[in-house]
Amino acid sequence: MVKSCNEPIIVRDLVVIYGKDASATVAVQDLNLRILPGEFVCLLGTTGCGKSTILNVMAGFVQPTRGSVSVGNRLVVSPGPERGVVFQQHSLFPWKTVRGNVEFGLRMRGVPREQRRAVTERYMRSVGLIGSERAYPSTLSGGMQQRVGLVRALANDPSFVLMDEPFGSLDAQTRLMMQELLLQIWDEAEKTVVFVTHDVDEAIFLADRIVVLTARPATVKEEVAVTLPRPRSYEIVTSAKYVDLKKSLLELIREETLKSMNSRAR
Amino acid sequence: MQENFWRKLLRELTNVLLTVAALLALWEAAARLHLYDVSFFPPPSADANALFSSVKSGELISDTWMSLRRALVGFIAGSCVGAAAGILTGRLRIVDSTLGQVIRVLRSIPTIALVPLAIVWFGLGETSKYLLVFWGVFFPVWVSSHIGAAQVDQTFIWAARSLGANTWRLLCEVILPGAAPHIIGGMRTGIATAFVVLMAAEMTGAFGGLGYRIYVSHLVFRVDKMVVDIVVLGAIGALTDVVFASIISLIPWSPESAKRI
Repeated sequence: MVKSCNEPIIVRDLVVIYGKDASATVAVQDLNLRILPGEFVCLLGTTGCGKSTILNVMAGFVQPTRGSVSVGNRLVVSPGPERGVVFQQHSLFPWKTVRGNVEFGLRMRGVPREQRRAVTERYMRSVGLIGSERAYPSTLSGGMQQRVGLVRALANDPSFVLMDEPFGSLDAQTRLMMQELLLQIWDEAEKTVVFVTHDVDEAIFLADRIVVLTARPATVKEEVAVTLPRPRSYEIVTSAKYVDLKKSLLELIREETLKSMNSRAR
Repeated sequence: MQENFWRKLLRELTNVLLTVAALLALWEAAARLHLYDVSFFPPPSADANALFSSVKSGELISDTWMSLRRALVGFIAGSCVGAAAGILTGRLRIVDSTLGQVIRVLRSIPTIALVPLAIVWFGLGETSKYLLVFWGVFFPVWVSSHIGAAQVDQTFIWAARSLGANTWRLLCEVILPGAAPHIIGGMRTGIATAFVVLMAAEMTGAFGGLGYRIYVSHLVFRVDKMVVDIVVLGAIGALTDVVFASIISLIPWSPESAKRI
């Protein structure tokens, strides 16, 4: 099932404006971005900067006001199974069991039951959820719910995984575990990941490349390559390279946070 | 959890039965002591007599069955059409701004006001009863289904779409289950409305049914028979309400507020 993707995501002159006339909000302004096949890219920005909007356009949930997002040479106009999404709140269907959720995408594509079972089991094992297939999402812990959300997106075998602050609501320890798990899965599955976060540590730990966004309206402030060796474990946070990177990123983010605070105060 | 549910139901049922029994005993005692005019308000013993003779003659069974059938046919049809319309108006703006607006206008007409008209149009037979009950059930089910469908979380819809669901699968596997607690809540209101409308219809023009029988008993001043039929109606109403309340509370994703009452 491992499928290597070889098409880039190309964002051209993206503008997203919510609302009309006086109440219009410019969420994204002239954003240009190229995400390479197999790359792990973090979009790093302050809260409310419009980073989720960028992801929603990539997913096909939100239509650009101007500009475009394309995968290879195909324009993104609607959601599609080649672009899996992991949401901020796990957003598992509460009326389906864990298995029902994980198998959802495969069922939509008409994959036969036996094959669905096999895929589900493989992914459930990889995230340590064997035995919870029949549970309803509401009975699981936050970390388990988010793992099911991740597996639901992956089981459908998308080329791209779009993740919108998926670990934001988890406690620090669980978040770290989830990050390590995600890297492990990404390493095996060769998928392109776009990961939205406001957490500098998370971005450095996960990404090949960090795209630092400005405060609203979001556009690219700076792109930073993360050259820390892989596989990474939590120990890298004390390395000199990590600390330097963190320092410069914090500086960039701080500027934008101040900007957005000032504009809100006005 | 399941165990708790049944135990709780049993305890509540016992409490209700004990309370009712105590009230009936008081009532019977008051009648025996001639504290009021018994012919206007026959005591439980007289009502029980009327119940037995009514069951024996087969009248009660046939009236109950007749009313139940009318209520159920109208209720099922009204629920199906109401739920379908509610999902359409709740999800599609174009349907809401056209059909939805028509429904809103029609909803403000009290259904009972339509009883004479229905008889003129469809006669004294079953058709007019079915249609009136249908009409009465349609609106509460429509309102709840509309709300239920409109409030299905956008991220559920996005998630399903990004996993490859087409419109039909989205409807069946996301919107319908998401709206289900509301739809069933609307049906709960609907079944109560069904009997209200049906009584008005049967009292106005019918050849059988509990409403017809209550009306006839009224004409011949058989208060005991009226009481029997009213109690049967009450029992049917209470039973259906319990059924719907149980369904709502057994749906794991029902909002907590809907599980109470």
